[in-house]
Amino acid sequence: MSAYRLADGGAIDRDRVVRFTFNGRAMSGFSGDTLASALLGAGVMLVGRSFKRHRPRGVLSAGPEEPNALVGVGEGGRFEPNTQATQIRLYPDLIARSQNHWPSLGFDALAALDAASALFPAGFYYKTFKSPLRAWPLYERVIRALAGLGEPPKLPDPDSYGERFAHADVLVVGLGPAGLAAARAAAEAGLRVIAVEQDFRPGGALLAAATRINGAPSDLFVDQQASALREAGARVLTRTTAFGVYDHGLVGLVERLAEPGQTPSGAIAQRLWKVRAGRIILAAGAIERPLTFADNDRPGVMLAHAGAAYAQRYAVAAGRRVLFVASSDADYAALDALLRCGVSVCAVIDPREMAAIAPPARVIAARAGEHRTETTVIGALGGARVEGARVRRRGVDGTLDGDAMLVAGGWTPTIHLHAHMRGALAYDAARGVFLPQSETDTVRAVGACAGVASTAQCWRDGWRAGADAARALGRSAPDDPSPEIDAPLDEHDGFALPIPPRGADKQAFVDFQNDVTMADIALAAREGYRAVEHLKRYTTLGMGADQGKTSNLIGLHALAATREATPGSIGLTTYRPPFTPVTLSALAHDQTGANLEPTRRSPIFDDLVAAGAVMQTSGLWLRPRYFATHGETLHEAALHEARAVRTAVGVADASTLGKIEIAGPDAGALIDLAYATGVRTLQVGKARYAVMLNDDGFVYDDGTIWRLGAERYLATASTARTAGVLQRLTFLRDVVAPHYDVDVFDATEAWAALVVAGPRAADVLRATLGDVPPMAPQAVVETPALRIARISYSGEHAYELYCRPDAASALWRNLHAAARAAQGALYGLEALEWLRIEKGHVAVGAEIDGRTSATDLGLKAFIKKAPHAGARAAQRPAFTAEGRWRLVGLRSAYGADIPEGAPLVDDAGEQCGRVTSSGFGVGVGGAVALGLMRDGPAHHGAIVTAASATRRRHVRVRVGPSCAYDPEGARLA
Amino acid sequence: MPERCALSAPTYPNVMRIAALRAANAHTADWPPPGRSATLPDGARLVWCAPRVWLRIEGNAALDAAEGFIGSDITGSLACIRCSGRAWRDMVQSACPLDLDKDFPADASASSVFGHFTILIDVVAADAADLYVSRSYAGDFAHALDAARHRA
Repeated sequence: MSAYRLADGGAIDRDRVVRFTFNGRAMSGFSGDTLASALLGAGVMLVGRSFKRHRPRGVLSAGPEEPNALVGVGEGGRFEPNTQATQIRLYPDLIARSQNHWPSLGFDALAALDAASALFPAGFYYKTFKSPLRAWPLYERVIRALAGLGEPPKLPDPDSYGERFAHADVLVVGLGPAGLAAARAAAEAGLRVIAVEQDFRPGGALLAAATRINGAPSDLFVDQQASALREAGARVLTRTTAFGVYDHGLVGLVERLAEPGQTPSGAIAQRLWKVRAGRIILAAGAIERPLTFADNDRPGVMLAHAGAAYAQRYAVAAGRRVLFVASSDADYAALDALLRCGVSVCAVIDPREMAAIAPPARVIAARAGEHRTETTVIGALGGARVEGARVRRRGVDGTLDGDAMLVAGGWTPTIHLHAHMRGALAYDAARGVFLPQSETDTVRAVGACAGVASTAQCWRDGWRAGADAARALGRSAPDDPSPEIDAPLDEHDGFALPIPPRGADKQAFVDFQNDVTMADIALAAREGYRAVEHLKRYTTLGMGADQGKTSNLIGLHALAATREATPGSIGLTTYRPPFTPVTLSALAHDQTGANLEPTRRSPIFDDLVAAGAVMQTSGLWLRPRYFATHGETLHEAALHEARAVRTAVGVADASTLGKIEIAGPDAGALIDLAYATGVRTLQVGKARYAVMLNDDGFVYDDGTIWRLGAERYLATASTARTAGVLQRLTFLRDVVAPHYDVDVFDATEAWAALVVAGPRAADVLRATLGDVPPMAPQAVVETPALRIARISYSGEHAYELYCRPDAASALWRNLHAAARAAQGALYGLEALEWLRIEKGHVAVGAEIDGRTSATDLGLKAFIKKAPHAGARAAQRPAFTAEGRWRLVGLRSAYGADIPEGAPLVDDAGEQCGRVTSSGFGVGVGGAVALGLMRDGPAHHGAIVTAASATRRRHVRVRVGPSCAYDPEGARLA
Repeated sequence: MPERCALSAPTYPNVMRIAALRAANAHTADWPPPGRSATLPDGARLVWCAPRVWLRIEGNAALDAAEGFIGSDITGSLACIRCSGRAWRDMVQSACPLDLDKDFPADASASSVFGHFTILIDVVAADAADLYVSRSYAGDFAHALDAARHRA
């Protein structure tokens, strides 16, 4: 066993040795260790290199505030960089490696940057790399090579991540004494409570203290409270971080079910919780600050209470000859814990006079080697690990030997979550900290994060908050059990910020992670960066993975000192979520791969696939693009399918088309309002093409209106616009015309839709359905199981057949068989596109793009004069002004394909339009397209160029009417 | 979890959508109010799904023929998956933002989402609920539910 592992004590299981590697070196710890405690226990003090100066760094803290001990954990897709060693619970075969060094942690060539640090003051890159201008590419390469912290994993994450919504009357964040009390009071009052703790064990500061509660060690008390909580019905989540508070009581949590880099033993690695809480009680505690003196970043310099936590929880001594640096009486509680655990403290250093030190603290200090009062630490000795301290007493400098320094620089309340909701903060001048000022009905801070100092007071504060929540929700509050807490130094306040040594020391670090020193802050202030937000950007103070949890307040005080202002008058930088880093995998949870978006499938999807359909997405739908029946290419198949429609018959699945039913006494009135095309005169049993405008007057969608009964209509909509058309109809009904008595609903999924098109369509219909009465164009026939309309999108004699989804498969197969017998074929979207282009039909997305009016699209004949939605906007002068791009048909002048999306360029080289859709004209021969062209109809017969820069193609096209195929409509008769 | 929550295969029940026009006001007093559902004497479920709209699932009574109602046969348009077992609420809440633990007993109903899917929840018993989703989503929805069952 290492000399740093104490002989007994700690909440570790010494019977369960856990083996792991660090930088390839085999090591071991115990079950219950963190990676940090295991490394310290093994005597590893050097764990990483700093970001800019590559200075050697060791473990500073024992929690999520850790700025130094960032490691890469795991392998392959499970590799996780920038992970705090303090936040990894040790597991078997853990693989960890330090980062930000070359070639090795012990010998880092880039440490030369530290020797030259005088050349790299704050903001040096703003001043240095601006000239010569031509050298910037070189600078950029070097900066990019050196910048960044850690390396991202290069392989996909193999694990799965979960999501969970939850609701609670009370959410308690943090399970130290205040949080435990708040959660228990609320839970025992019968409220639904969710209590979360980022550690893998509740207790907070109680786990690191030598405090006895109700006559027993505090960790036993903690276990009892956690059990009581669960018995009262509370949901207790450990290893769970509340990373953000959002509007309306929404709190984001991340629950770690596996450690970083670890293979999950269960189903998922982490779970993202979205909790809606009636009340949020923040009991997030406080974070200890370091002291600022020269070389205060040497490995072996550690926060005092972190040192106590390592001794108390993990039976690890920070050193064999520890120097303990106190700032207040409260710090002696940590010293007490260290001494009780058997840590050898060779000196206690306190800047105060002996008389100013509380008697209980003096008694504790007497158990250490010596008590140096009126003494200030001005520097650390050593290189790769601390070897002692330079101290000053009454103006006389000296040194003290030691292999670790535990420093207590006061506490900073953890106000981040309170600040996420822009909760007001008040500056407490006496303590030098910001405290939550206002309480809302939703969020309340309690305990140390609200500035409450002692364990007993924290408990009472928490209980009061839980009881208040109970009363506010109409429950009777339980009585406070008032545990007896034996902590003689508890009443002493440890929040106050010690005054740092005078002078702007280039080696006194404020922000360890970003290598920001006191000198950097002074320089920034001298150069005019006197606002805290500017200071942050100029020096990088408070950036990075730890977001300045140990440094922000010290930096603010240092800035205030340069301005002779108070920190309260300067204010803090803005705290934003997440409180601690959240892996992107957790935020994405299961919404990756096939789950990224669901697909919608037609009722005959399996039949389509069996028939050789090659699918393409159309919104969320999967639709056949073509049928690869004979090993044909897309072009060959589409040609074959389109020809079948033109010469014989084709059968297609149109189930994805929107079908909206409108029924009731005012159904006709609503349609008249919603559509620009008149349907008042539409007879029962007839259908009509109709155009819907948006409120801005542009065309929104087109489709057909079927009159099924006196007060019943069916409106079809484009696949992609179905939801929008439905929304528009319901908006008009509910908001514009609430007096209408009419029902509107989306019946798309209630009917499968199959299309039979081509000169032999009627034969196929008869062969499939038996005797079907002759149907005139636009006629509609309805039976309970079938709706048939004779309408066409292809330009051929065609029928749309709507049947129940369960019957669709049989109908499809029968139609297919009949079509085959008639030399027909199935056809998909590609052929459909070709057919509609040469027929001149417009489509949503291509021609109906939100910028085209009915006149632009040649649909003026379908616009009624009677009032309708969008009519007023469509009367604006610009809608009929000259120069608008209007629909034209395009034919390839020399046979080449016309590039879709290509600008149309006239002979003067000016753009005069664009190609909106392009295909092959099966009926007319050659490449055909639709386009929008300036004053298009006035230029029929002109030849322009479709010039595609992206495809590097220029095709001469002849402009003509949009309808190239059967403009008289003879084939529809 | 699998033993705590069972999922049925998707079914496509007979569904009649019933919308109440103004003339029907007098007849809907005994119908399930918003957020509730009921079992009719013929065994059908009558599920409130939107203001003035109910779904009658299975059953043969001629409710839709009454004056002021518009009945639309939407049989086959909805896929139904039954979640049963004491953990069905946990499983659904893995991707549904509704508070299913509070005031959501048997005969409660609600429209909500499950991940990307719009769903209708009908609590048919204390430990079972029918989840309805548009037919076109049935395959992916069943897959998503099964995955959630294993993750929950």
